[in-house]
Amino acid sequence: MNFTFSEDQEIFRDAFKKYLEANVTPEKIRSGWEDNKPFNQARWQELEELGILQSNLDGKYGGLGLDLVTSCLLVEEMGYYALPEPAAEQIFLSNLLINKSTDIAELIKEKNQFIGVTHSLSPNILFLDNSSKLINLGKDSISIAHSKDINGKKLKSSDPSRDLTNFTSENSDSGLLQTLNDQKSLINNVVTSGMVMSAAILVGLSRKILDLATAYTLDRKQFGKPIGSFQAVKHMLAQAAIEIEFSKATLYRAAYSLDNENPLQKLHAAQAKLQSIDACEMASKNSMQAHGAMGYTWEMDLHIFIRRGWSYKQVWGNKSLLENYIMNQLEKDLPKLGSTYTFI
Amino acid sequence: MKIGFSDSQKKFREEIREWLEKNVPKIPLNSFDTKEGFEEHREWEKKLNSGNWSMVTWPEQYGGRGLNLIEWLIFEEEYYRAKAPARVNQNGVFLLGPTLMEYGSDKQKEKFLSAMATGEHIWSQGWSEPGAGSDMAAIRTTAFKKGDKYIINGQKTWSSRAAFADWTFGLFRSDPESERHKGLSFILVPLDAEGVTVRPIPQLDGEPGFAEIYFDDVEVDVSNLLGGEGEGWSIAMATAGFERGLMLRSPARFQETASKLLSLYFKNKDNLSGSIESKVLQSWLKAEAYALNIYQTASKLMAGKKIGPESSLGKVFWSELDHQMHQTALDILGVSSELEEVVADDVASWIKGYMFSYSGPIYAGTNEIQKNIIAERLLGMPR
Ligand SMILES: Cc1cc2nc3c(=O)[nH]c(=O)nc-3n(C[C@H](O)[C@H](O)[C@H](O)COP(=O)(O)OP(=O)(O)OC[C@H]3O[C@@H](n4cnc5c(N)ncnc54)[C@H](O)[C@@H]3O)c2cc1C
Repeated sequence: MNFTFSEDQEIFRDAFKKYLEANVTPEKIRSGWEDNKPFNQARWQELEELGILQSNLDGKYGGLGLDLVTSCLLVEEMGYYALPEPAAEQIFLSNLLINKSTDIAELIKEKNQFIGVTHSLSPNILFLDNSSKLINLGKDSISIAHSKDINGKKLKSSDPSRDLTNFTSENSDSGLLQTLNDQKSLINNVVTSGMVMSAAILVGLSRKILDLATAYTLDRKQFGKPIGSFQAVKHMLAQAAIEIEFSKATLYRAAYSLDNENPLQKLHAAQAKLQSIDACEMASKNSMQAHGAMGYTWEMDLHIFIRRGWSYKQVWGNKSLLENYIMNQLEKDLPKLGSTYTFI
Repeated sequence: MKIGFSDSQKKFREEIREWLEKNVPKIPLNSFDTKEGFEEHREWEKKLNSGNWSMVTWPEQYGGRGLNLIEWLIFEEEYYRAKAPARVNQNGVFLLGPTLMEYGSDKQKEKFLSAMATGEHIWSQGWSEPGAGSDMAAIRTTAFKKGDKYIINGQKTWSSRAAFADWTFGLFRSDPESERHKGLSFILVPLDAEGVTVRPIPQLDGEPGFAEIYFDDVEVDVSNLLGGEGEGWSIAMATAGFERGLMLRSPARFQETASKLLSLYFKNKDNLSGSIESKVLQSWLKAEAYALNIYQTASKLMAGKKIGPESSLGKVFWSELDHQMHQTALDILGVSSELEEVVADDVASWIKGYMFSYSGPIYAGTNEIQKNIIAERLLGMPR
């Protein structure tokens, strides 16, 4: 048992963090919003050059073949900096599909281009115009289509960093390249991966949201002192710190289980996602409160991060779905609950 | 990262499981907050020690097994699974023991550690005073040096298990000129010394779970000073760190409660509302999250990292969780939950646990104090 990260994992994460710190600033995110082009093609290129996009892709497809715990750490930082480009989706959804299915790998030969993935848990097409192909996960079939042939109505997300297109029965057949049948277990695997991905983003976002609030409370003075010296404010943020702390290990275990195909990987992923949903809500609400009216403005950067949480809480497994899943699982496994079964 | 147990750890689990199955009393012992139960629990400590199970992380020379923290967590999991008796000497083996190993002289280790392991010395802790609760630096009980003795005067209170314990360890003001955190010393005091009066205090369940301790010119030998004179505060902080964190609040306790709650829920499911279901689910999720966090913390410690104010995060988390779980259980039990004698559905133990869960957010530093620590020391907010 060693629940710590390796030196390599931390070095890679820290290097990526440095890149994000310099290149994914609120100003840059806002300028993408203003131009209605949240997806920055040049930055996508850089993510490729850094090895991020293909970090977990198998060596035989030109990737680095890194494990999903490393991916999880990278995606957590993407959350922290609210990276608009769908690198998290590329890693946890399309790369996973390519790694696990030679049929899909055969169909997706282009390197470094965004491959969209849709499923009933995340039905709207993300960044259609910036993707080369779209993989749709059905109940038990997977279909792959050319993105350029898909015409759908644009949808407006509450997060301007998310460019969405409606996926309907009319456009679902256009540009179709191939449909693969009997893919249930692979689909299940990708859904699990989506849960871990969205949980990692939420944990990163929560950390950032809390950091913004603590910094603000040092700065802002009322009654002649920094508002951070008031205990009511301290306790609000401390509570958020507690929720965040207790979502982390659950997340890393879920990533590890996914990577190692643990039979309970979906349960672990659902746990991680639920914890991260609660952490993000607590961090968002309390950090907003600590900002006062300033937090409730478009001008303050806080909402860039809070909004992203609104979306990621709902896609790839939302509270209701996850709770039902876990409860059913627990009822089935009742005899196997308790502390001696934490790691099986 | 490698999550899972090694073969030797699995073997260790089997070994302790087997031993506990053979040795855990079939009929639960009386509560250790009664005289009779206290002695039964002392016997149990002795029995544990006879199998070298008293404290598996202690070095072998003191009766331990020299095992690591992961193995300690395994031990705890099996211990709670077996419903083995509560540890009457927890303040000794989990708190003072590690503190002695870090700060004690060889002589002190020799004198106290094995007597602690066998249950010959049962320990209570004496931090709190009537005027020094959350504000522990307001301690006024004095221990002034005279020749080779400390003369102790004053009063400690809320000392768990002191009603029947043999020794207490605590902080005393040894420098008459000192204020606040300075001039405090960590001293070990036998409760049968002349001038000590112990007055038991009944707790919410009516049993004398803690006590006041009065000191009236009590003489203790200077060899009972732990660490240097005046260094008590920093030593006490180390001890309190063990308490809040990993040693005393092993996740197994909360996970076992959570699974008991799940069983209770599924048995009565058809009559229960959605809000109960959601609290049951939350309980299980949080107990698991706590366990995973502690395993990660144990791994970090084993890799040579230190934990400081982070332990405050866990203190708030487990104590709130414990209350939520017990409250939910009582909500499921409904009208029978007030009947302390009911054996079915374990009503009696749910009520007792429920009462006790009210104290979790208070003892070991209240949750408000923990949140101050989190805000000031982890988040860097101004005092
Ligand atoms: C079951 C149990 C067992 C115990 N066992 C022991 C033991 O073995 N040995 C021992 O020495 N002590 C023991 N204690 C005592 C425990 O350590 C104290 O109760 C605790 O430190 C709080 O002190 P207090 O009770 O005086 O409460 P107070 O300090 O009077 O606090 C009362 C309330 O005020 C709040 N408060 C106080 N100061 C602040 C502040 N600065 N900011 C915000 N809120 C504040 C507290 O959070 C609390 O809600 C035990 C207590 C319990 C309940």
